[in-house]
Amino acid sequence: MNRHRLLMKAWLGLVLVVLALPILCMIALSFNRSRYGTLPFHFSLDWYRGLAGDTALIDALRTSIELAAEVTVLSVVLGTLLSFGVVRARPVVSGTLSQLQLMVLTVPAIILAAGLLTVFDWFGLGQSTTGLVIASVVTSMPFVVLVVSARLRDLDPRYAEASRTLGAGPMRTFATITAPLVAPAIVAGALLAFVMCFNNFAIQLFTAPIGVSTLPVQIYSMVRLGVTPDVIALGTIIVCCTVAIIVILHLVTGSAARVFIRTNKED
Amino acid sequence: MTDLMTSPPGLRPDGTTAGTVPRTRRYRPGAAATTAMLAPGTVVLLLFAAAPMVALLVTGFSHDSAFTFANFSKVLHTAVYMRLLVRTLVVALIVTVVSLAVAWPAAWALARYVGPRPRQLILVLVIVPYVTSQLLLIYGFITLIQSDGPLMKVLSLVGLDAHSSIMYTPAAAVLMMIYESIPTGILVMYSAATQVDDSVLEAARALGAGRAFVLTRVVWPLSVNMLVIGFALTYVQTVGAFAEPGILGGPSGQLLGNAIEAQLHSGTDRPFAIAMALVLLLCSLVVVGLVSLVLRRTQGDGRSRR
Amino acid sequence: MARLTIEQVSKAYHGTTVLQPLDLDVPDGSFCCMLGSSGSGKSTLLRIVAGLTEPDGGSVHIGDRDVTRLSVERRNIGVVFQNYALFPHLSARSNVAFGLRARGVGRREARRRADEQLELVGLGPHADRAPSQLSGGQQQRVALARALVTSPDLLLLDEPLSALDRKIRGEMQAELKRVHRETGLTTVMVTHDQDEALDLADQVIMLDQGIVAQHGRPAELYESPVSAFVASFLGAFALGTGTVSAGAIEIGGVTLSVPRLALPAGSAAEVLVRSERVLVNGGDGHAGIVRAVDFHGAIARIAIVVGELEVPATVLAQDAADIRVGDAVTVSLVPGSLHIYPSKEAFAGV
Repeated sequence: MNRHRLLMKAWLGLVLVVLALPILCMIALSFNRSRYGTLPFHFSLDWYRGLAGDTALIDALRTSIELAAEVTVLSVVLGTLLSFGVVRARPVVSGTLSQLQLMVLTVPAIILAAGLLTVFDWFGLGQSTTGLVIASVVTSMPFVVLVVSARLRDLDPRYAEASRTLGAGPMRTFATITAPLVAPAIVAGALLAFVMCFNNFAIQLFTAPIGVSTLPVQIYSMVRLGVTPDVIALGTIIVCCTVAIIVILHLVTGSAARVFIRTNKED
Repeated sequence: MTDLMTSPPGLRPDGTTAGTVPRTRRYRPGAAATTAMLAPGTVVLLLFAAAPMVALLVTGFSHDSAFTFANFSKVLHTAVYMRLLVRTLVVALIVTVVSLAVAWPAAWALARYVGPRPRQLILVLVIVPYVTSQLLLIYGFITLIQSDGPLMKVLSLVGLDAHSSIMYTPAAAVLMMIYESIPTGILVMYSAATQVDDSVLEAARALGAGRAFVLTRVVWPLSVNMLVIGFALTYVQTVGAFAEPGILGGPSGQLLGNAIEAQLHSGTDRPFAIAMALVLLLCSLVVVGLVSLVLRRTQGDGRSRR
Repeated sequence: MARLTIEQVSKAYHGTTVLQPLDLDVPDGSFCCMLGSSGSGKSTLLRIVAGLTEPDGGSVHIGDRDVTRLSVERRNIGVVFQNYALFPHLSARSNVAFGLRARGVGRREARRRADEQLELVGLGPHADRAPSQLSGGQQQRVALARALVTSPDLLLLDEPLSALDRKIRGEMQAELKRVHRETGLTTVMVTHDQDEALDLADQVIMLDQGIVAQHGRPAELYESPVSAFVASFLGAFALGTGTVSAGAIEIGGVTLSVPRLALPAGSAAEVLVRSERVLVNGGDGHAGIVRAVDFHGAIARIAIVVGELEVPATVLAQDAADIRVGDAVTVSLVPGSLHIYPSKEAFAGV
């Protein structure tokens, strides 16, 4: 049995190495002097210095951050309201809403994007910033709902009951008891929504108007020209920020993985 | 000891209980508030999640505002697109099967053979690629496999030409897609692995079952449900892939997603693009359905076979 | 401090009746226990009194006020929940001060009174601790302090001691008694433990699936249970079904003399026995053989076969010291050790 265990753990280790390899490689080569990211390796910070000069990339980064920030606020507001409503609603209603959100998360992005574009045409939006924001909100909101409604379901109703018996009305109970207990989940949902929106390449590619380039889209257009070290440097920075966000998520919720594993358990 | 009535149904976060017996004419004071909370999010979902799906169906079947099958027949009768369709379905199948095969043992080890502290750390490691932008991952992959890059330099030690690479070949795209699907596979099968009770396995061994028997008769049936979910999630996501084939796949590595992308970008014949997308979606759902059926069959029906 | 009056209160969930219309009067300053097993409706009744659940019909009065439709926060009650429901994000002090703050008491004053209350229950030094840092017994006392500090009219306790282990439970029972004595607060407690109910309460209401099985002083329920259900809940042991004859009952091949038995001859009746009232080798009685002797510390339980019956006897351990399995003993059933009820079947079976 022990050898069997050892083999499986070794396999796990191997898989983890493989998962980390492209990212580690990118990080390593961002510090490499070679323009094409090829070996041999000579340490250099040139590309980080040069990053500030690559206006197209920096502009795209700014656009991405602005978009993600806006979308996060909207997703958190809509998603949190929705979560509170879903906990109180009849199973028929909450079931349907869950299915809709599940669909948003599982349908290939290109297909959802095609449908959105058509709907936008009906509304006279076409490819526009508004459309981009809406499309991003639709695909980010489910993450907020996932985290917040899970927390609400787990929240012992007796805390609120106790508060009421002590003389606090519904508003006070919400403000002093329910909200503080749900707040960490809302923060987690916000972090998640930010990250998922930032990375949502396919939606951005199809629904963004000409002239509005988010970072993934910008990188996509540049990749035809081969590997540019600016991107690698920026990518390294972004990966580090992502890891930081995941760590924060982990600290806030107690287990970052629980969000994703719940997704699947709920099916 | 909990009285069943201690947590009655319909208990709300603000401490009141929802509803009484419908036959009383008392109105439910919470209903208005509930609707208000649900409204904005529901509107968004209905308009921009449900409606797009309907829109796809409507558009796929229309041409110049007339109902028609023309778009679909165009798709089905053009050899190029049919070839792409088949290639896409097959490639997605390979990607899904391989990624699940790689992920499952790893997830099993993670769930059962690793202590709680390292497990949390490893889960974070698994999630990082999951939440990193696809484009950055592809970039990282390229830096890894490019000619004169780390991988080729290592392989040159065993005699391969360091200046070559698998860039612009279907293999590169496939490997990339497998890579991207592994975290999903791990997370799903982790869930499955935690659900298999240790005591069930021990009982089986105590009854004299050998490892192979335990694997096929105990572990597998208990894991099939999650496996099906993992398959469905990965497969449906993969058939829609266009970035990986587009960037890494080279001319012979293109998939239907690329054709759809091209059509959508050119903007000339949207209904046609949508028809392709719908055909793709339908076929993928059929495949998932079939696989699901087959896998569930192997689960055993709980009744004795003898 | 107020009297609690419940009139014809009933409740049904999704078509299932949880509480049949019932009346209850708890005099000002008394201690009432609602006793029953899971699903009996006792917690539902408590929740209705607290205002956490709306009754389908009937009314609830606290003092002179009709609170039936009054929202929870205006009822001026104190509730201790089964799992204490201490707010996890607040310290013990803030928990206790919560009700005062909700009533508009200033922060400093609320803190002072909270500290005072915590001192009274011996938790002064722990005032800054979070609930998770306190033991079960300590949490319970904080929950009690929290409910009492606002000087409620009524104190409601929902199985407050069931999560505690035996020794602490005993201490807390004494504590509850002390609090009741010192505050004179009208108290209603839900429990499934009959010993607790008999010990603490001035009156006991026993519920069985939404219906009142019996209602009265603890001694009444113990001495004169009105049904087999009540008798067996309070510890009587069912011997089986027997046939009534004049002044006696025949069961398991044994004739038990029961003067003043008011059931028609020939009818079937269920017989239950109080094991602690069975006399072993104490005088005239039935001949029996000892089947088992189990020691439980201070007491011993002896199983004696009499005819086809197995009669349990509970005696002091020292009195059972000489008794061995297989011994022949005399079993006397003193008046008051038997409870007999008409059986549900119309006629006696053979």
